Amino acid sequence: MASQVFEHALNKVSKDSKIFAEKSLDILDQINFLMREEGWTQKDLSKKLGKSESEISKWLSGLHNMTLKTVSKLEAVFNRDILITPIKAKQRYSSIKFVPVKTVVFKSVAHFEEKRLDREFTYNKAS
Amino acid sequence: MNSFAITEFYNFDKVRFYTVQFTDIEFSETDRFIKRFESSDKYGEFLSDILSLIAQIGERGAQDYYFNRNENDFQALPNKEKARAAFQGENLRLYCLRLSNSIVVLFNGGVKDAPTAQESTCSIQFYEAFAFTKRISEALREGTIEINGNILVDYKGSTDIIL
Repeated sequence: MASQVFEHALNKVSKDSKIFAEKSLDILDQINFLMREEGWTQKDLSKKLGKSESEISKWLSGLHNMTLKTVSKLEAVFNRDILITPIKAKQRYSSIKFVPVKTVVFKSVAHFEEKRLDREFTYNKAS
Repeated sequence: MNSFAITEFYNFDKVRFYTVQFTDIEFSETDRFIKRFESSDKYGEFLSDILSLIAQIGERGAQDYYFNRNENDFQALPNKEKARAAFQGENLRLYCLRLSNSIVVLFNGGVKDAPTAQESTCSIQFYEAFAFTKRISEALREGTIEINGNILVDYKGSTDIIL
């Protein structure tokens, strides 16, 4: 049976606590994504930052109240964004002129069959 | 250590949280932790942060990297059980045992007001967490309890677990 004490307490949690927890984990997800991309362990990251492993471990745990300075150090080491504001994101992504997407336009049933099947296959044109 | 029950604490989409309850005490250890700090002017906010974190993890899954287990406290103990960790809101700690991405056992905790937990006000809860972890880990190794998906069961398949 679910804890009534927990449920009651959770219902009273402030909005800023919820936001803090959500953003803390969003940041952890992003950092771990970047570490996986680079193939870095926490040990590697601590060396690149010139910090002890235990300090990095503290940074990268649940609810560490990460300062903007800390985030900046991490972004500098990864050379990638960890935090980005909506305004910045809009500016950055609105400058993209096009996104390559492969599309196929079917003019007729016959045309569809030609695209779908091997080139050597002969087809009957639909009327 | 006295015998205790492992009981379901809260089941979220991705994580089933359990807690422990001494058989002669009315509330679970995690309920006792919440009741102790929920009305505190000084620690109430940190408790809120921890509760929010539990809910967030419940919805995302108990990823290994969400849990801090390199804290000096754990390294100082002879049993370096890797699954042992703590939720922390500033210097408030809630100790826990991560068993998988979908099962976490919550214990009790307290205020870490010294360089190590052993010297802190929360030293009793810290050592109890260590003892709970040891018993649960041993029970898993011996097959007394098993992980069945995201459910803990005893060797008979029952969810009523007493250790």
